[in-house]
Amino acid sequence: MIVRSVGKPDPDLPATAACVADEARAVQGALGADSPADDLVEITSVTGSRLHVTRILRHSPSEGMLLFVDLERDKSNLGLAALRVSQLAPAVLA
Amino acid sequence: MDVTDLADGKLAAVLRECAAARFTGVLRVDGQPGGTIHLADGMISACETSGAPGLEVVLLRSRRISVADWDAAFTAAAVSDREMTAELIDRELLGAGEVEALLRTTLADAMFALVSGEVDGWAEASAADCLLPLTPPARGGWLLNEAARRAQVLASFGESAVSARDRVAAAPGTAQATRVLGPGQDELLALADGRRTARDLAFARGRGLYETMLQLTRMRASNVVVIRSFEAAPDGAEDDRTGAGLPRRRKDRPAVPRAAEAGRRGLTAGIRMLRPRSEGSTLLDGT
Repeated sequence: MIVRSVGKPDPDLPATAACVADEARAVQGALGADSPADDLVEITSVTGSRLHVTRILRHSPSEGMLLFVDLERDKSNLGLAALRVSQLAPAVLA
Repeated sequence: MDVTDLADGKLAAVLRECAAARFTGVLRVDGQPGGTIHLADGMISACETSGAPGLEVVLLRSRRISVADWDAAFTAAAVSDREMTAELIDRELLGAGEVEALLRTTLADAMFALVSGEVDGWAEASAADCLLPLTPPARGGWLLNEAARRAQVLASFGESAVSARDRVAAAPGTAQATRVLGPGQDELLALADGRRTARDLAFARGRGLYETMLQLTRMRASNVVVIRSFEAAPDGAEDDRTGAGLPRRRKDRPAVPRAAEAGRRGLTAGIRMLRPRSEGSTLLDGT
């Protein structure tokens, strides 16, 4: 579920969030429970016009929490966006 | 699935009316599981129901906060007449953002439990304090849409979907299988004894009802657990034995008359054996 969202309302956001959560779950499943050192940290996806950066805030299997940032691809830099999101992420739950 | 598909949409209409009237107070919802909805200015700040664990249960059962820390925070909040959430944050037991996220999650879960059950009616109840209100409150429409989305996700699994009142048991042969379970599934499997419902498992683990139902649904689809529907009478032939193969104890089953057991002496014969074989001497107190 979307706990909180800011910015322009997007009717497709719930479906997008569910897909991202599924993707994170699939990667966690592929990594297995015995590889905590290689935990999933971030998922980045690029479409024709959008840049999605998803940061894992909490890893708990049943209480996982993600920070999903939707950016305009033309106006964003993937590396800088990922860096800024990683810097801001700890403040979300603080 | 639409919001109106849940609980006949009756509750959705009431919440819309409450939002339009900017109602502040408590709405008691009768039904199964039923519950109470706390509204502030037409928006929902809390929902208490026996159908889903609240934040206190989630925090304590999942051991995220110890009982001692919770009790200390509760006492301090009561003495100083502060909100419990502020006390938890000040004691650095939870972050402010984390509190809001957890409250929103448990509120959405409670509303999901409420509207996916049976709603018989509702009435305005007398005002009551809420220990852990969500600030700012959530819109009723958002919560109902989220409940509808959850119901839709579960329905997409078809016959594998698990309801809150389904009793869950490990599938035969699961204990011997070398199958690798997903995260958290081993814990669920250990607790799935055929008596606990999905709702019971959510409370036992301190997890959300929806999360537990979804996890169980996935496990059922993978043939890790089997479901006994709550309508099913628990007197099938296969239920006469526990998972370990021992006879299952039943309270509702009439006891077998002992006299009917083969090789057992009759009751009168047993009493006769306890009687003195001869008159002998009778010892009395003080003699």
